[in-house]
Amino acid sequence: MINNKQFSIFICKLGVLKKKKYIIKFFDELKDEIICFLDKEENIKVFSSICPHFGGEIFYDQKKDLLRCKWHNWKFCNKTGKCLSYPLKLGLNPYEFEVKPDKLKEYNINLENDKIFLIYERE
Amino acid sequence: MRESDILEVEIIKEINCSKEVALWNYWDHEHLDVVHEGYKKSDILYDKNNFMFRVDNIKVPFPFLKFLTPVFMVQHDENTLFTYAVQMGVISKTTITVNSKTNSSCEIIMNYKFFLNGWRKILKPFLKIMIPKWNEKVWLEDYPIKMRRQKVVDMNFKDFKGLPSKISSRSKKNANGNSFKLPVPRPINSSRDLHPLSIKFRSKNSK
Repeated sequence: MINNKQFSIFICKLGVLKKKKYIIKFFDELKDEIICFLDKEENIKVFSSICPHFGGEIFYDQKKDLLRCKWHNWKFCNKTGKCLSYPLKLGLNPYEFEVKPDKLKEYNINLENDKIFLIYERE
Repeated sequence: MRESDILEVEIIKEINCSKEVALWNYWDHEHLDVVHEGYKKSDILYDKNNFMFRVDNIKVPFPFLKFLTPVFMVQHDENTLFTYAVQMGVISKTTITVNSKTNSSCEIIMNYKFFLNGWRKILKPFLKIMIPKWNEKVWLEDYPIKMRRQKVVDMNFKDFKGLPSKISSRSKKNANGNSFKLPVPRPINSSRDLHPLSIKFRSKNSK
């Protein structure tokens, strides 16, 4: 549940994400580009998709179940966003999200039309 | 040595990114074998301030054929960079001139000169056709990188850090211009520094 300081933005329908495996969108409200993907265990994850190295585009490598940069092939952990290519402190910023009308785990029917929302705090 | 032994090809393009972003793209050597189809491998042997020496493993459009190309690059002045290379025994000089048009647009003049003396003359008609084609392919591969780089720079992106944590700081007015400093930083044990003759080479045992 989101509190009264938080706002939510629609990312995509779960059915679309299941079909595409990952979605990349730029949000003006956040001034950030995000990647929403389903990992191998079918968990939804949302991270910034701007590589902290030089700003390259991050995509989800389904085969290896990790995030990778299109510019320099840097790899990032799909769970934490931590850089796996070099022992650096940088990583991809994770975002909170929710699936409406209820949490994903509580559903067992009609999941396709469920909507995924990114949650953020307005400054 | 005669001037008639030189094949010269010049291509001029404009792009909506700053001069600094365009130059950064030329000096970011780590993207070569990831973004450009023609590069198999690229090893930097030495770089310092405004110059760099590397060896590229280039793919040619024949199956299993690659060749080793030594490349010397120097940022001659604020707008001009030279690249000297030897490909299959042919010495080439590339002059890249980047002129600012506005804060977020520039003109790039790419001048290629190939020294085709002796038997190399037979390559002239082939290179005359191939160079513009090769240039276009590389241009299209680099184009989205330059555009995106400009976008993140305008959002106050910092290399090796990312976007500012505050959303309100992610704007052009907060960005401190498009700074471009050489050499473009690489992490320790970067994929470019793995050649044992590289000045930055560190063996797995060294700390």
